[in-house]
Amino acid sequence: MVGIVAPGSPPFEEGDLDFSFQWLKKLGLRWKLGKHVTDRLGDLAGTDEDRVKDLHDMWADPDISAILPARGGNGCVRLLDKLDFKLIAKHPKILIGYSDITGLLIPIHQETGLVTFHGATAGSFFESPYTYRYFELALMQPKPLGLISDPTPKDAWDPEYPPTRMVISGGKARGQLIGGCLSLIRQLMGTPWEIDTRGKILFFEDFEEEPHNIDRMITQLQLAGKLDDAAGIIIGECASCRPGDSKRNRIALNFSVERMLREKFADFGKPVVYGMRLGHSREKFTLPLGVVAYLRADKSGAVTLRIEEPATHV
Amino acid sequence: MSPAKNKQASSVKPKCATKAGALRPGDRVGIVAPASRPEGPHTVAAIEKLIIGMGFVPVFGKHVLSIHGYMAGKDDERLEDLNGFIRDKNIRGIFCTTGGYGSLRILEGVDYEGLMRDPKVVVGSDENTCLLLAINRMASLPVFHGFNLDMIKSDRARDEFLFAITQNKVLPPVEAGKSYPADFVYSPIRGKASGTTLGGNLNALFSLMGTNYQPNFKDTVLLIEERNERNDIIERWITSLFLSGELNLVNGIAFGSFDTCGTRSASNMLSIEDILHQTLAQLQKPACFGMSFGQSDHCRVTPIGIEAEFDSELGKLTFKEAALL
Repeated sequence: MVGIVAPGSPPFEEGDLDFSFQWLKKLGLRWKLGKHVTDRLGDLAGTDEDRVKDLHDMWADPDISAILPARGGNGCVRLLDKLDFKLIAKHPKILIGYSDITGLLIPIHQETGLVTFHGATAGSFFESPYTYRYFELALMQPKPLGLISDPTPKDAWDPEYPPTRMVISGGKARGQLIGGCLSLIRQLMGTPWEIDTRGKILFFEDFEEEPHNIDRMITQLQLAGKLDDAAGIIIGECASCRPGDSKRNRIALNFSVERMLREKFADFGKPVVYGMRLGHSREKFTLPLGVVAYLRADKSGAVTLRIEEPATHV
Repeated sequence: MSPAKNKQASSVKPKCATKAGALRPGDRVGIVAPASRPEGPHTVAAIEKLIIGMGFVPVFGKHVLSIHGYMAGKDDERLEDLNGFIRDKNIRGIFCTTGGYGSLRILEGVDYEGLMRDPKVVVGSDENTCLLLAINRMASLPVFHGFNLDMIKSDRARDEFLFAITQNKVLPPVEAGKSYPADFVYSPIRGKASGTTLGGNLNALFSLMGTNYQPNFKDTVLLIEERNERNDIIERWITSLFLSGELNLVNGIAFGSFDTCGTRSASNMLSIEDILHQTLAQLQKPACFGMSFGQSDHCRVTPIGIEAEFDSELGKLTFKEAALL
């Protein structure tokens, strides 16, 4: 049985949850709904106290084996000083999500050692066959995920289609995976849950941020030593991050994300790849935090990403 | 926690070890674009006229109108301009033309020791808050959060700028301003606090968290302003500062101008005052909104790194010392 919660924002429409129920049924799963999933307080699904209570209730419930947030949005980081990490460590279970949920994935993984999953939410795992396949592979069988492939290209050209995976800096790396949404990784800087990238493969993505803003966040990590600490870097596709795409903070003379990355990582000497399908568009694979992966980026442009360890057990 | 954090802290002298001399007519001042490029040559021409009108001799950095994507030239070019002025004994002040983005990228190359040896009047705003706070921390030098030169659009702003950088006396208090009706200040936590002034643009300040340039929040009166940003993003940054424990170290928080902030593209958002209420209530530090501080035309040019007293009920920040010699 899975527990559906909203630690950040509520579903856009209450009725959206019906889609999740139908697809969970298809996977043969039963579900339980948190009491405050559809509460609304500004852009949050109710008060911090109510959202954290829902999360704790699910975590303590012996019938629940996985916790699926309905959506990200905003509000997860607000729960961190109220979160009972001991309770979580005592009842290891799956937590999966992306975007704002990164604010729980990294702290819970770092505090408890529990493998958490960067992937689709309860409201998005069925949005494409590619996403659905990796959701099922990562959560419902105890074997390593193995090689990560890209989705089959669509027949019709889509103006929103993100750039293909590309090599920004060549090299090989093996290490535990750590990362998530860049805005959230940034938001944890300076807090007790600041990301630890030492010897790890760092992955990040973002959504509706201008390239100069992504530059700012990467530069902050760089000044904090987080990039030098990492063994390799995987950058997701960064949906709607073309110059002028965002609804805020536009700037004159913007570079593309790719141009900015190529300059920033010109002398990095470790593998950096960009355009992997992790992030805010419909097609996304699932990445387990804390699990060992192998990353190889060839100057020819070939990228190999292999998840070598199982992320769950029987 | 980052092992790199605070590695340079031991080399930093106590707060306000040095002060720059107040500017006098005829002084040469360096004009730099450490972040984004000014809009165009007309902006630079207007700035030249403005500075000459103030009675100073403007010296423009070579790369003020260079273009490297969203920045006025490459990092080493912008640094060359900035460090050139820092090392030039005949330059008595350094003013920034433009905000945008890019100051953060050059912090590791700034000649902080040069500024300690030869303190100068440094003024900037917006993104250049990064540079101001790094200079304040690494060179123990008071700096001015004021206007980038391309923001000065009125006689009032011009006079305010000129006044602040030419006084060797204590500057008049910063008060609650025109964000609200006259003589009104919204103070969720009423009280008095004293401390060193710290702050500026929230995004720029937050960009320093976890880095070697993270400011020292202890015993400060924290000044926060933002422009053109969504309320929920502002809340994210304040929440993080709160969780870092640093806000527990400050003695008071003065929120300034939040020009063109708000719910913006999202329509289900609370006001900034609502969104921050719970955090401020937990902190119980004197706090008020609507101070004349930030990027709006009515704002004050505010010294960072000097002693001040803050009364949140009155919305008044009273300086206890001069910022310049």
